[in-house]
Amino acid sequence: MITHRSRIFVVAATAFVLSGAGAAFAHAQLTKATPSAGGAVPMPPTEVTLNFSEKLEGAFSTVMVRDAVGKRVDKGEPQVDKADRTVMRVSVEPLQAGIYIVEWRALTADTHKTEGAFVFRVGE
Amino acid sequence: MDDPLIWVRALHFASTMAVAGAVFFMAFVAEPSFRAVQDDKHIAALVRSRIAIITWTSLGLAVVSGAGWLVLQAERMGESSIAEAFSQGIVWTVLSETDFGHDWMVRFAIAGSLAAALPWLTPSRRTSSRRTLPVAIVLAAGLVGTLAWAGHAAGTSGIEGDLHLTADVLHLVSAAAWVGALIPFALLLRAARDEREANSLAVAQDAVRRFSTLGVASVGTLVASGLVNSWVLTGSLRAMVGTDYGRLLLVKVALFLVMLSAAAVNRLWLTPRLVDAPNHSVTRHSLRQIERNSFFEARLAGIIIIIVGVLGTMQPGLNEQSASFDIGCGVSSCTKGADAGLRIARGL
Repeated sequence: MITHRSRIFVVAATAFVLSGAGAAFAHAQLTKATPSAGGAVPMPPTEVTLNFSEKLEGAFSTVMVRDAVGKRVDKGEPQVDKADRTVMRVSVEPLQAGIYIVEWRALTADTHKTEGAFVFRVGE
Repeated sequence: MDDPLIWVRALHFASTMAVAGAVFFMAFVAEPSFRAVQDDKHIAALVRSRIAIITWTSLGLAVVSGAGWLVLQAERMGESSIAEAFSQGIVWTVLSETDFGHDWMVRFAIAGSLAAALPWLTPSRRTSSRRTLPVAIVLAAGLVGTLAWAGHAAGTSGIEGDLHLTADVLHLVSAAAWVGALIPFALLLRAARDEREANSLAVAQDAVRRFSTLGVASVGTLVASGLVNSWVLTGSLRAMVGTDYGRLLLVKVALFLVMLSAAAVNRLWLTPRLVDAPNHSVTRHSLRQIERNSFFEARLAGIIIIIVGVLGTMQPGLNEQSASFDIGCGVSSCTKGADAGLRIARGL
């Protein structure tokens, strides 16, 4: 009986601690982007769409698109999809052939912030 | 450790668990023990008044620390000063437009409702306790369980997210039922020893048996919910040893195991000795040892809660190791701005 109870305590301790451990390990990760990160698209996109690993808070999440000299080419006011809060998108001005930089900042529903950036190219 | 959010989080966790633990202890341990030994009204009044003080104080601290957590969170979300968080309406934006804010509004409402349901703890209102007791239990569980929406489970989406949230709620409630009830439990034992009456000792003996049952139930729920959480978050184990975050987590593990060892001594050695005590002297001696161990466990729990407060503000190692998608400078002619694309998604 003592051995059985002792086992329960040890398992409980491990489970308690491990569950607490995971809670802070999961900041939002960018899982997919359209256009894709580092990729090239033959036709200029009308918007940039980002998919994340966690739900975002729209009021505190942003995405900006700049051209190769740093000028903003997005139309502002990025939107987090209300039906799927892991998706954020922003419309962009008509893009010329060239390299564009996407800078994003995401606040997840668990109040953690992450940020990142990637480039994509329009044209061959 | 100089980040005020660490201390505010720790204070809020501790005070919330203290409130819920006190309510659970009164409902499932103390009151049934008082009813079982009906001849001793004095110890019942004494314990009720002492635990009422703990409960009211903890509830006040929970509300104040909850408000502090909200303000500091708004400051960080808006990347502003505390003054700007108010003047620019960021606090209200957080409250009205984020899951954290919605959770906080619900929790403030629960705290207010719980305050209205708490008079059952005061001796003069005992007759009304039968009606408000179930309400207080539900509200106390709600107050501590809704902390899950302020943690990682709130960010997990889909069915996995629902499962994670459910497990987190159960985890928080069961932890409060155990950790939060330790000090009320120790205070009851001390009151019984001080009384030196046979009936008071009988109340204490009965309470020890009931608290043991509550502890086993809490441990069982902790195991089940902890396993679910671990399953959802399997990836976390990789960063456990190689980062500051992971190493602090191991300190938490060690402290928790010590705490469990003390609990095991109470349940496996001292409780049987108390039940089979041949005379009052042995009973009082056993009660004193259980009381000391319980205070010791409560101190360790306090340190663990501070560590939880620290962990919540640290940069987890996994984010540095696993972000593979954001290495975006895949074309040869990167500009200065594109250099940012080489950064791996950075937790702020």
